[in-house]
Amino acid sequence: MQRRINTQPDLQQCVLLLTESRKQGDFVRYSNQLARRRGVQIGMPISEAQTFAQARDRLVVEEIQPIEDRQALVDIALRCERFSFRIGIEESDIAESILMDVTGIAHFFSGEEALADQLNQAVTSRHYMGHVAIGDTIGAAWAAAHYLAEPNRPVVIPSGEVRPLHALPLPALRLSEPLLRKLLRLGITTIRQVLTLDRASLARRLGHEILTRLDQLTGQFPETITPCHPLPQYRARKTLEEGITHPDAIEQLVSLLLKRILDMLAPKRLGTRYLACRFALENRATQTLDLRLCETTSDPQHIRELMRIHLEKLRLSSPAIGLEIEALEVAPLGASQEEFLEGMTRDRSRQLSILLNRFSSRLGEQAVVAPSLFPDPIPERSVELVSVTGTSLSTSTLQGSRFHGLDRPTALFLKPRPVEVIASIPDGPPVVLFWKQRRIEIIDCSEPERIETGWWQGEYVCRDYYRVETTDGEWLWVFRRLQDSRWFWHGEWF
Amino acid sequence: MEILDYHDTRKQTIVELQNQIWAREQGASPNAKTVYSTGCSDLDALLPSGGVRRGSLIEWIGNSSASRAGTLSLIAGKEVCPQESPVVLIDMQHELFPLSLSLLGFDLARVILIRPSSEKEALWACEEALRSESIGLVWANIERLSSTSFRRLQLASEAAAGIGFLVRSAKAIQQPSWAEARLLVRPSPSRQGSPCVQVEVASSYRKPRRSQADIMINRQKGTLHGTTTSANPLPVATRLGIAAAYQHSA
Repeated sequence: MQRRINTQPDLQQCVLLLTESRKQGDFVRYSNQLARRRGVQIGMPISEAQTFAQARDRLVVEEIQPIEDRQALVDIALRCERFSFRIGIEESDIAESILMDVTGIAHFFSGEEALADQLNQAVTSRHYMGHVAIGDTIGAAWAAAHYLAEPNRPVVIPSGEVRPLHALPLPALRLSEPLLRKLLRLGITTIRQVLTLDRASLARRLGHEILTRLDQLTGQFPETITPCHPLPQYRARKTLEEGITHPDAIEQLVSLLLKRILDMLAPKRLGTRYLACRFALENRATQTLDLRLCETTSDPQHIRELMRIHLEKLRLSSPAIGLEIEALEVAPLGASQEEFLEGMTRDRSRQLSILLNRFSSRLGEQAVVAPSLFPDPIPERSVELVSVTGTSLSTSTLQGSRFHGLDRPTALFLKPRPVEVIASIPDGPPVVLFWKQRRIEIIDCSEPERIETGWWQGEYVCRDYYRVETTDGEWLWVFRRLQDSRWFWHGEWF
Repeated sequence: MEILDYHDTRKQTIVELQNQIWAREQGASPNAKTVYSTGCSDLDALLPSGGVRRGSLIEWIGNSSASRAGTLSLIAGKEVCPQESPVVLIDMQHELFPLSLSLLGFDLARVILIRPSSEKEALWACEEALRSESIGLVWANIERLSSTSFRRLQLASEAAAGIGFLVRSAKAIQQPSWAEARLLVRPSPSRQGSPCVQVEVASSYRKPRRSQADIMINRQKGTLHGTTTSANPLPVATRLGIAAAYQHSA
């Protein structure tokens, strides 16, 4: 809104509405002062908002432009570089805030209050109205800036004092819209109310987002600022006069550009984890080839070998007339992030990362994964498989304390197998199972274990699981779906 | 004058030759002599080295889909894998349940799960993993394995002193094996709520101390216990409870 008015000041005299499109239609995302005076509210359907404009008003309705808005924010951020060593933009679809790390900087400006004042002046001098707040964490500063600070009245939350923030409304936690709606439906409106609830049950019922946001507010969960300063680009490009199709020629071209990129990285002792190759083809199409690595490397031989594996699978639809290779994830060499590389000697860890890179290149990223657990009672949703060359790997054993040893089957079928059952009593444990013309006699059956989801978790699941032992001594994991009393075979101790 | 027994000399020569071949085939790596226990003495007794030797393959043959050959091999694998080393699990069926791995004591941060789309890819991954000294254990459920492929896997494990566990179905029993031991696993009725298995040596590179063992998998702890020789795995309280029940009924 401010960007539009700054570029076209006469819009201030109009009823200006900036809209966003949702599935339900167009809604007001921002409005100017005059529109607010007329009674327009944020979130109102655009058709309703238009009725507030009076006959003499000039009504201007435009769609929001997130890309332009973000660029304007970046411009402001870059002008504030003298206040911080690390400035970034909040990670959101529609970014509205500039994040600055001012740790250890306040004394240059005679304290945090003075720093906040000067920041405010820097923003207002460019005809913008900002809400400035300083806090211990990004979460605290964001909440204070949005719900405590006012234009020209910056707020500084004293170190270790997050209590004033507890009274703030829930949106101050930066929660996603669906989660916010769920909580509001449950009558939870403030941060304090959330803090009184049991963390485990919050995570179980609403997912991890709420706990992450709470911990980000208090500083128990670290949050970093991604600098918005334009990063140096490591890119090499070559255009050919004639198209090439021969694998050797393509490999040679790739090697040539790869060498150029690695030569750019070497003096800075940098390596890469992600290389993007873009082939320009004779038919004016572009074909891409991505090489992701599980550890930062600048080893030309290793990268070339992985490239060769990828090139073997590459089928160009037309002769290549150009190639551009860009190193997208550049980091200092030896900056290993993966958990499974920890505790190993440098040599072993390098061997392992080379092996994993080879696996991912040959078998595909989705075939080489690291399992991660979720505290979801539904078995098929309790595990997430993350590519080992993915950006983040987090492993948790949250369910470990609830279950033991053989409480869960070692094999879980991709889809539960529908089975026919004979039970000794109606809705009782099974005595015989039938699956694909196979009759399975049951001699023992465990107590039922009820697994169900809450209404707020999307698709409703309610099952009674039984561990059954067959006459052959095999253990199978079957369940009865309570909605329709159908039986399924879901896993086994193979 | 002492009479030279021709048969004794021949027998001795054969034993010496066998020992020499055995020593040579243990691989060039100095680590190849290290033997890890599976955590169950009865199971160790079925293996020719008295445990799982580095640089060797062990084949676990299940007589049915839920024979517990996979479960048994995973529990034994967790024991033999050095703590800091990652485990590579090559899951051809795409059915391995990571939650159960965590419950059996695997550190999921050290588990690399490979779900190949073909047996060719699975074999390649298995060989590559066995050739890497950074991997503590390679576990794979590959069904079809030619003699040449099997030999390649065995040479790979020998070269880097890696440990490989291959879980296969009963069909594999007809095929040649290059594993140090081929164990046939059959489920047997549970005891005190814990599943039991009967393990039999189908073939072995050298004669093991025993050829068959009955093993119980503790349902609570996920540990292995021999039901013939080892101590009663049940907690003291449970045992006392059972004893009291007997006395009461008497």
